[in-house]
Amino acid sequence: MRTGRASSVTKRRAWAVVGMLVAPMCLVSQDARADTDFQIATHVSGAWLRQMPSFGAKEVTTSARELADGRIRTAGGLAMMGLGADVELTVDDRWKVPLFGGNAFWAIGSYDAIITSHDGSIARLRPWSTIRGDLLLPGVGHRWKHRRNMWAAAVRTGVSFATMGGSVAAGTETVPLELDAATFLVQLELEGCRRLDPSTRVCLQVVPRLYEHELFNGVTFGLRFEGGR
Amino acid sequence: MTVERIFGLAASVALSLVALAGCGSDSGSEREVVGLRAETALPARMASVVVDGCVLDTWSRSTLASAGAKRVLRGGEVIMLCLVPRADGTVGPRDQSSRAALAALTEELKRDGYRVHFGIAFTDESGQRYDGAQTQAFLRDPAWRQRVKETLPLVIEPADGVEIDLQSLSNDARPFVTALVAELAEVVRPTRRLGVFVPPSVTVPSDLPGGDAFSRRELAPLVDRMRIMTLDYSERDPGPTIDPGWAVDAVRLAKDDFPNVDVSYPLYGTDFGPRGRRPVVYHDAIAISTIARAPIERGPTGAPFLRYRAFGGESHELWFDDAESTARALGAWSSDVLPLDVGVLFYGLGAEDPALFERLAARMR
Repeated sequence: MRTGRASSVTKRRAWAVVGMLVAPMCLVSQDARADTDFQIATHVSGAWLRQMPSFGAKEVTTSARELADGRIRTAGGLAMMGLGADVELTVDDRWKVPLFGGNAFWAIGSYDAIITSHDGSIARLRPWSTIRGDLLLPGVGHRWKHRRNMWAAAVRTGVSFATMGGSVAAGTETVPLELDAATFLVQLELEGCRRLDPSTRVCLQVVPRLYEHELFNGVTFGLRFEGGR
Repeated sequence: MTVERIFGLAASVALSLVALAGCGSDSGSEREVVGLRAETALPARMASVVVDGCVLDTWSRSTLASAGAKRVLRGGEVIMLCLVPRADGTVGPRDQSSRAALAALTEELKRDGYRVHFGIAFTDESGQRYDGAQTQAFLRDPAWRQRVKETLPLVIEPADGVEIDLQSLSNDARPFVTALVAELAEVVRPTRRLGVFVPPSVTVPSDLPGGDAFSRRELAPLVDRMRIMTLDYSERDPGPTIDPGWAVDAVRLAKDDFPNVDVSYPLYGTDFGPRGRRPVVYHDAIAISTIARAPIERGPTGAPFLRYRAFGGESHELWFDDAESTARALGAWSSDVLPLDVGVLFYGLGAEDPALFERLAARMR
C-alpha cells in the first residue's frame, strides 16, 4: 500500500514539472497556424561534373560478336549548361521545403573522343553528346531576409540520368552503343537573391553536388528567377 | 503575369548563354582510358613470340636482345617455326651444319633469358606450306606418324619445347590430329613442353573451315599450352588482322576446354589487292605510305591502314599494326575480360613496329 501511494505522488510531481516547462513555450505569441506559400522558379545554370560515371551499355550485335549488356568505364570531367524549374513551399517565411523540380543539361565545350573497351572490343565514346536530366525531389532548408535581399540554403535529394553517344568497333565497322547512367543525388542549394518587385526575385545560385555517382562530384551554378513571397 | 515574366527572363538569359557557350563538340583528338590510357599499366601476361623460320636476322636478334623485348617476353618462349616433316616422315633439318647453327642460336637466346621452342611447320623443302589435303594424307598414315615420332627427338635436343602448327585441314582430320599429338607427346613431354596452334573458333561446332579438326578436349591432356591463332580476321575484304573482341570470344571458348591458352597478336600486316592478299612488314607499310603519298588512317579498332594505287593503277588497301594499336588491344583485354593466366603470342617477329616492345615495356610494371 505504501509503495503504491508513493508512486502516485511521484507521477503527479513529474507531470507538474513537465507542465511548468511546456507552459512558457505555449504562452509565447504566435500565429494560430503556419503561414505557407508556394514559390515557382526557373533557372539557367552551368554545371561541372568532376568525374564522369561508368555508363551502362545495352546488348548489341556486331559482325564479329554479340555483346551482352555491361558497363563501360569513362574518365574525365564534363562541363554542361542547362535549364530547370522547380516548385517549393515556404513556411512562416523562414523555412523552405523544395518540393519537385527538374533540370536538363547538355555538354558544352570541346572534347576528345574517349577510347575505351567494352568486353574486350574497342569502344569510342563521345562526351560532347552527353545529356543529363535531373529529377529533383523534396528537401528542406532555411532562408533569411533583409529588406530586398534574401539568402537561402537547402539540402535536397533527387535522381539524375545521363546519356552519351558511342560506338563499338568490329573489324572495319562501328555499331552504335546506347549508353546511360542513373544515380541518386544529394545537393546543397545556396542562393543569394534580390527582390525585383513584390512577387519576383532574381538569385545567384550555387549547388554543390554532395553525391552524384560518387561523393562531391560536381557543382551547378547559375541564375534563378523566383516567383512568390 | 509574374509567371510569364519569370519564364521570359529565364528564356532570354538561356538563349544568351546558349549563344555564348554553344554545344559540346569533337576536338578531333582521341583520349584512351581505362586499360588503354598511356600511363595505365597493361595487364601483366606471359608473352611469347613466333619467328617464322630457323634463322634470326640481325634486326630480330637485336630486338630480342633489347631490354624492352626481354621485359615484354619475360616468362614466355621464342618459338621458331623451323622443323619440317618430309614426305617420308623424317623431321628436318637433318644436316649437321643446320642443326649446329640452330643449337648455337638457341643457346644464345637462352643466355638472354628466353625459353626456346621449335615449331613443326608443315612445309615442303622449298618452304611452301603443304595444302590441307597433303598434310591430311600424311597424318592419316600411321607409318608416317611413327617416322615423325622417331626422328623428332634428335632435332629438338637444344629446345625447351615443341609446338605443332597444322593448317588448312578439313574436319575429318580430327582423329589423325589427335593421334599425332598423342604420339608426339610421348616423346616430347617427359622432358619438354608441348604446345599446339589451334584455330580461333568462336562457336561449337566451329565456325571455321576445318576448325573441328582440333578437338580441344581430346588434346587437353596431351599438351601444355594451346595457342589460339586469333589472326587473319579479315580474309576476303580489306580490314584489320585482328579484332580484339573476336579474339576474346575465341579464347573464352578454348578456355572452357583447357586452362592454358594464349591469345595471338599479329606483328605483320596484310596488303589487299586485286590479285589477292600479301603479308607485309611495318616498314613496308611506312615506305608505301611515303612513296605513294598515302596518308595513314586508323580503323575503328585503332589499326592503321592506307589506300594506295600500285603500279599499273591497281587499287590496294593495306592494314597493319603498330605500337599504338597493339597497346590498345592489350589494354582492352583487361583482367576482367581475359584472366591474367591467358598469355599473348606475338606472331611474326621482324615484321613489327620497331618501337613496339619498348612502348609495351614502358607500360608494364
